[in-house]
Amino acid sequence: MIGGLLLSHAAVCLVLAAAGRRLGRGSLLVAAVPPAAATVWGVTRLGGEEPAVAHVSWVDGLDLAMTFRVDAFAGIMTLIVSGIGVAVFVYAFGYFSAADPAMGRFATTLLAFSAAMLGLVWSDSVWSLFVFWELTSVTSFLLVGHKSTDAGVLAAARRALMVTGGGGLALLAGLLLVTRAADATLLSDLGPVQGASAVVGAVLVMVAAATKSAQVPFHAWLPGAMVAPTPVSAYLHSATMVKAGVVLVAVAGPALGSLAAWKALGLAFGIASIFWGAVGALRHRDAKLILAWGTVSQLGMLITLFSVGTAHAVLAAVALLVAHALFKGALFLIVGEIDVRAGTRNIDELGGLARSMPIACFAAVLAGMSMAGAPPLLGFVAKETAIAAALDLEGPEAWIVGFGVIGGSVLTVAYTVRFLIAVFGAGPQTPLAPGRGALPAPSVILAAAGVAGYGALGVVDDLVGEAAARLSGAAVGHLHRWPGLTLELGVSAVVLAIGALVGLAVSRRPPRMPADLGARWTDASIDGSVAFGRTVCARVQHGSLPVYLVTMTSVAALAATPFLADVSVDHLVVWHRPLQVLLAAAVISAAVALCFVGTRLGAGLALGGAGIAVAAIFVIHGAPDLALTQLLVEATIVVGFVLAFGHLSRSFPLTGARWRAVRMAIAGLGGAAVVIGLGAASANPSGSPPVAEMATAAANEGGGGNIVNVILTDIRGLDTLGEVLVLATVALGVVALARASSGTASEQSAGTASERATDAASEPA
Amino acid sequence: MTALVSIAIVAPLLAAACSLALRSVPIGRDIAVLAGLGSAALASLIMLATVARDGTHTVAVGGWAPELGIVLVADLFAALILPVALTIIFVVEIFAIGQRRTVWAANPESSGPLLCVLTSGVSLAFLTGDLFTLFVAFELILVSSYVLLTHQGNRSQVRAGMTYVVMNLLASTLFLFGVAFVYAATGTVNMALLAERIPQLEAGVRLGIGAWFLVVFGTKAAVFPLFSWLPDSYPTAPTTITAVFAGLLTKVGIYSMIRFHNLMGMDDLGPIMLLVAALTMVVGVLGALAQSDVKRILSFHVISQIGYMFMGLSLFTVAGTAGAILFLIHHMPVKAVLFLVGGLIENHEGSSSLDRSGGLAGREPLVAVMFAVPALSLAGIPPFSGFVAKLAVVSAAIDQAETVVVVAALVAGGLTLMSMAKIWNEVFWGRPADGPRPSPAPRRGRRTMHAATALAVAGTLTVSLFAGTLLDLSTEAAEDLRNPEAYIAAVRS
Amino acid sequence: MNTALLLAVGGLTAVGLYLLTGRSLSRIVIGYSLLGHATVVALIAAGGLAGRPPIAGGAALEDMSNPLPQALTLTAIVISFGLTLFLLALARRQRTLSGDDLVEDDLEDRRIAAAEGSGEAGAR
Repeated sequence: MIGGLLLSHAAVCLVLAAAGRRLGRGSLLVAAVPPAAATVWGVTRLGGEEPAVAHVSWVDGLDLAMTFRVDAFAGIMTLIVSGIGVAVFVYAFGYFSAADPAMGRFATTLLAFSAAMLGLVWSDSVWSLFVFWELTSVTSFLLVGHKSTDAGVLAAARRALMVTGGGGLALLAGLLLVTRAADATLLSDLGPVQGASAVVGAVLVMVAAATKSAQVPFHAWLPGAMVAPTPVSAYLHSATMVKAGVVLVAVAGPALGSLAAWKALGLAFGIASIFWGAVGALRHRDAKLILAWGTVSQLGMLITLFSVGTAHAVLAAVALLVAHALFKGALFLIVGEIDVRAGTRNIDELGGLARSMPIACFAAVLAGMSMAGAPPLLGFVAKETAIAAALDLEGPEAWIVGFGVIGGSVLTVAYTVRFLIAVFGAGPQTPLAPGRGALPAPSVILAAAGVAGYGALGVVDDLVGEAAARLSGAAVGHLHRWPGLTLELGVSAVVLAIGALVGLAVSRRPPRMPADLGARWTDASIDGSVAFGRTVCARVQHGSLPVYLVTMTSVAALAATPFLADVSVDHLVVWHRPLQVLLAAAVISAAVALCFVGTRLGAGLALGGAGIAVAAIFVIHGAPDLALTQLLVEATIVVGFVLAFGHLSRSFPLTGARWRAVRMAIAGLGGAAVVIGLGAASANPSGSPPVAEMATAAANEGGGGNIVNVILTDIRGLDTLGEVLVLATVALGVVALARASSGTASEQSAGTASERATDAASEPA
Repeated sequence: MTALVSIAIVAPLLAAACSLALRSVPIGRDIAVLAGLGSAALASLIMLATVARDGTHTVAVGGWAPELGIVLVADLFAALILPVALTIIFVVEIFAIGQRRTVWAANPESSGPLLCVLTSGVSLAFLTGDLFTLFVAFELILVSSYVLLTHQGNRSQVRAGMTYVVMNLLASTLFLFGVAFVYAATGTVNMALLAERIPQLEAGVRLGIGAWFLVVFGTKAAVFPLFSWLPDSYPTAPTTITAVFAGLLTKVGIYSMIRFHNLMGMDDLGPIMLLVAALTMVVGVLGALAQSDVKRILSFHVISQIGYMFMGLSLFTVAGTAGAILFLIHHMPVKAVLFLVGGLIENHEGSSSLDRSGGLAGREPLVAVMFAVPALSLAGIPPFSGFVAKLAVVSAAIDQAETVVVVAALVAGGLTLMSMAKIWNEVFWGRPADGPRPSPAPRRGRRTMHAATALAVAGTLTVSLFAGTLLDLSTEAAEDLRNPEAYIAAVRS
Repeated sequence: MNTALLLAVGGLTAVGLYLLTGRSLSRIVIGYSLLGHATVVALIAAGGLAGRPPIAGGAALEDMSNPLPQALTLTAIVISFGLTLFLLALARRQRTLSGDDLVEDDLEDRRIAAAEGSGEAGAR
């Protein structure tokens, strides 16, 4: 069933990709079908004893496999992912105009995201989790950039991709280390791990979670991602994808929770985000951004609770996870509806909406109360449990967590109050476009679910309790509809009171517009790496052939240094034939003369001289064929040289003295490297050439007197074939170049189209 | 087996000859080239099946003993890489036929035959068991690439060609010096005999030879700091040429290193090679970030990705070598496809410059998808082949606790993603560029180009789908390379 | 190993490299030509001592020079001959296009380096 559901998502994706243009906005309704099926499946499985499992092997050598296991926690996540998914698809049908040409693409991508998210929460193998993790990053990038002609949108999409993609790399390294430490790749097999590499791995996994769940200091991409259409913001960037990090912390808890570094880092991320996110929510004037910053804060709360890892805290976290998905999803959908109808999300321009949009207002108040943690809503239960869990702790941890949870709750109330007052409160009536049919229903359903959850707390408690028990590995308590007159109720009352006062104060006297809250350094680090790339590129890729060649020669000289260890002079003889010395001297002096000769004709002559001397060396060595070939070749080259360069000015250009010195030094080193290499290599050979065998074989089997000829034509005939081909190819090339030189204008232009583009682009500004 | 090996090497040559003879008959010319390339690719696939079943095959050319003559060796490593390379060339040639009528096309009369010669050289380089024949094969590949790069003779091509040709000439010179060192030290150029004799040399000479050939092969492979010729020359050639170059040429260098340095037991060079690998990955991708032209960006990524393969090799473990081989199999098609998409971008936008394009995803969604798949694969994003390959080399490095190179690999992966996002943002999203657009290719040509690219994309997806099998085969090939006894025995028998 | 040949190889290599790293195309051609000489002498020297030409029946086996490096060298000479010709053709084409025979720098590289140097790199 798991595989079937994922495949049905994929199949519908393919259908939409192919037929999306024809279906138009209807694509969105088609796309809602697979999530609806998953939701139904999820509901039927609720309370089931045995987890559903599926396994597809992929790369056994790396333990890469798609392994799924849908237990109680994954079941809850299924309902969140697919259930809210259905609501969002229906909502999007009302949100977009029927004329939007990009609906097929949008629906395909959103459905692909939905499938990836399902895969993620169902994964048991850490590697299938990773695969889907990355897919959610990619689909998120595509969805954020939906309005792709706007430069700001593109920057936001890039920021989201880079932060979550960077987190993906941390996750990859972290998972490699952790799975090695635990010697298991299935989450259900991971036991507590220990050791230095496990600690590093845990830190990396936590960092990855923090990037995905927009924890300070990796949070900036999330508010930026609000440039996406509202269905995307509601679905990916509040209800589901940003929860992936939280899910990761939750499911990795049993293995990594015992490491101090894991908990400390989680608390640091979480508590910093609780406060920084709330500050952002109190400062911004864009209703959607207020919600986004609120999400940062709430995610901080979830990370904090899961990092604490006690049974009580995990219970609170799971409850809050469910409540948050419902109330934040609803609020986003409402803001989107306002955006569509009022044409603005700026709270300064909104007014009188309580009267003109009563249903939306009602739903928003319900959802807002749940967010603030007021009864009779699910958010209240979650927050009560969280406070109780914090109060349960001992030692400094109690103070830290308590400070985070209680302080965070106060600020949450504050920004909720500010949000509701600012959006729905009094003010000049905002003109509204007519309502669209499908728009309000999903948000009302989500908001009402918060109430229903409170009403049917027994059912919720069973599900959440089972999930929490599986995650914390211990018996958990229960969620309470009304805690009675306990300490946490008192704290809660104080929180609500103070929070409401702060909220009222802030809406009365608007705070100054925020300075940048983190986007700047995120972009700076992205741009910084581009600038660094440019610096490096300017250094290493300067475009000058001589410098490239000098670099290469130096590296070769460097590579020859090991030979120095085995240099010996014992095997060297000065000459075998006295004439060799003379000829060597002649070759070297002809070569040196070439450096100083001023005219091309002189150069040609010296070149010829060197060639003849080399030919003479061959003769003396006992290689007459070589000498003959050498002479022929040399003559041709000298003629070619004079032909190619004959008409030019007669002297070589001068270069700077310092550069010439560098070239001389490096060239000298290159020559020395070859001498040393050859000297060392021949000192103590580990085998000898089979001269006699070769001669005998050539004479007997090759049937030729001239052994070199037999080798060329028979024994190593393949080399000779290659050599002939090289010559033939050169001939083709020479002809082509000659033809290009004499070609007509039209041929020239055909060849130079790309060149014109390059040259024009290369003009220095 | 002899027949298969000969087909892989000789069929493209026959095709080149036929195609030259049929110069004035376009259809005959194309059919000859496709038939030659196709039969070579087919032969290599059958070769893979045979070798995977029966083990290493050797062909003694002319029937001479390995001490005297040339031996061709179809071991699993060669048999795995060869079909990938030959199939790519075949697909690229289909694309080239579709591209004919555009201003971006290579000159069909000479490019087809030259591509065939290059193919033959590639087959020879992969199959030869002889160091000097490897040199000849290199020259064959290089000389045809020189001509392919410059045969249109326009200014930027000649300028770039000069850099490319002269740097490679120096590398070839160093190769010959290396052959001289090896021959002086061992008295043979047969690789199996070298595998016996080089480990017996004194440490200094052995490592000197190893390091020297690192420079020789490293220049072909474009590792740091020997890569400079690549980004200057590749972008100037017609797309199809660049696709073949980027997909294959540097890989021949890597291939030779994987074979040579494993067979000759150069494990001692590992630490310094790992450093080079790290620098190659990072410097290559940083260079890419500085560019503003699709083809130049992609060229720098060739370098960066070479670093991953070099990293796998430098670990000198079975897992590392297997990772490098899998990476090779993944990288060749992915890089070729990306350059083909670069060609499609040129065709649709009139330029491969980022500044002159925009909004292509809206107009040509298929092109966008065909870019996205290999681009994500290049960045190592699952479930594409690049992820599996990256995981293989990185996890091999973690096994050896080589932290520096692991960090470099991950950072390079992140920056690659950034660079791909940059292309995506500037070309596929954003506003369409102002100014006139050149008329795109005729409809039928465009269809052929799209079909060829789609075929290649499907190829990369196949690699990721069968990554498990391919990794198993790579591991088997790596075991053979790490334990040369089997190779030596096969050649000796 | 024969010291005279060894020094000839070293001298040819050094001078060849010096010329190859110049900016003048004609010097590059000369440099490559000298490097070609150096490689063939190195191969011959690596093959062993001087001897009588390797012709069956013409010399005793033990007096014969090693024939294999000669064959390899012949191949190498012909290949480098071909490449030199190609280099000449390229140089000639370069002269037609630019009017001189100097190696030019890559324009795009220079642009990026210049933008970097003047700090006006257009952020993307």
